[in-house]
Amino acid sequence: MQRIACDERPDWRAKAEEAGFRFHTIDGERYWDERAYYAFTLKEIEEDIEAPTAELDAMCRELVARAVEDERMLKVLRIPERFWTFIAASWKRGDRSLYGRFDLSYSGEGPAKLLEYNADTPTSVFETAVFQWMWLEDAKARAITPQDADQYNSLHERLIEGWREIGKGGHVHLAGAIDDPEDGGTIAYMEDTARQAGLATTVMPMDQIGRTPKGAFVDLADKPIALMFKLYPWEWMFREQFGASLAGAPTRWLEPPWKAILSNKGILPLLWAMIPRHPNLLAAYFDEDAKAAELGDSFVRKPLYSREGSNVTIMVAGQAIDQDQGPYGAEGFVRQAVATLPRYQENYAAIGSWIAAAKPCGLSVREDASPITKNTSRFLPHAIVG
Amino acid sequence: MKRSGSVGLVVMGAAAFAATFAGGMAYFAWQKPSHAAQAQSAPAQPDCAPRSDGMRTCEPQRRSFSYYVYPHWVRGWSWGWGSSYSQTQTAALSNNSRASSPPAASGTVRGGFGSTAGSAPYRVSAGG
Repeated sequence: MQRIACDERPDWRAKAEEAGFRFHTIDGERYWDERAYYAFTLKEIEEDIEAPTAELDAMCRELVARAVEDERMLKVLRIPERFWTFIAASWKRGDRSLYGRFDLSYSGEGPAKLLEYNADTPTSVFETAVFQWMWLEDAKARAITPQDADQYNSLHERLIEGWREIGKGGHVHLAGAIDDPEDGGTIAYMEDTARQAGLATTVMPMDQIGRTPKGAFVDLADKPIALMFKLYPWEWMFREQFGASLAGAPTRWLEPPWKAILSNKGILPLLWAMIPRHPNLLAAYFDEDAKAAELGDSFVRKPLYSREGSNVTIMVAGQAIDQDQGPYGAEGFVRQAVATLPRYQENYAAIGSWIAAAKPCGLSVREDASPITKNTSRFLPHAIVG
Repeated sequence: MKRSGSVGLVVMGAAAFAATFAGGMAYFAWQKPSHAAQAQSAPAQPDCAPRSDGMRTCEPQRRSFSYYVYPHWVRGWSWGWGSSYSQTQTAALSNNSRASSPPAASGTVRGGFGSTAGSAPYRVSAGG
């Protein structure tokens, strides 16, 4: 794994705008950054990223299978008891997952380590699946990368395959905070992949989902919602007004309710307890667990529920070397062994390893001047060059 | 090719390749400014009609083999329903004004999801 500085395409902003990638710049700062790219060998991709991602996915599914049979695990994850049956039913029914993203610490040396699993509402999907591929095509044509460069990226195709498996010929509603450029863009892209898979689609704002007197969810035309893709966290839905109607409604959801288990950072200590010393896991414990002392005074403290690095603190030798503020943490915290992200010049790089339709299928790289990856961390393209 | 490892046939590799760009093109269409939609006069595609309340319903894209073979995503290309498709998508996502009150007769209530994203301490994006 190498960070290779390169010329940015003079016209990349126009190309981004043309592709509808309008959040390429956030608050005046670059989000998309092609002044460098990350180069991987095929061996690194296949052996260090792709295979471990499949293994992590299998481990996570095993964890869910255990959790739905063990109320202690659901309790320690702080999942409200009234949703336990709802979650367990979705797992036992075999509700399919469409996609997810494992965030890894990986430097090219030693195994990739799981930092967290964005199992429920992963974003950066369009820039991963489409825009970094467009970059690669241009980069090869303009000799920015070798002519035979490739990319670990079949995310687009896998999403379409996933939609086919889940609902070909059916109708999917897609909802979220569509006024937000990133969420709206993500939903628009997901809708496109659904339509290419043969599904009819309806996009609507999350707050316009209707509930009938009988407790069914309907769209703005009062038509029943049979299948709903929601870019909206389960833990938020559980505590909102309509949460009480989830179990009784006939709507199928994407991601499925059992992903509420995996989007919780409490899975980090649970995975570690299930398969201690697995090469792709970091030691992790719940904050209140006496074993957390084994980590000493160097660890990463993360809220059970958190997004984009919020309320994460990195402690080294008893000192907080980095922390990001936010509204999370009321449900508790976990402590995870420190796996500092590899640093290239002044940039810390985190790997996002994508899985769609149950297969690993793509990679994204986020960079930040800080070791905590945040919503503003820059997205850099990658290539396979050896 | 690593990227297309899941696609066995060469011709399907090309199809998937083009589909990627098609996704980008459609994405572009959705995100154009609303004034662009107003300036266009092509009729909306009947099966993908936008509504004033922000909801948009579309039928599946029925793409023939030629859709993938020919690079219609290149700027300026006009192919079948492409132009009207673009226009309706544009209008749908760029018009955020919508009614929030439930239809009185049906008894349907709305607003029971989405409150957390709109509350002050949380970032606007609900993704991660």
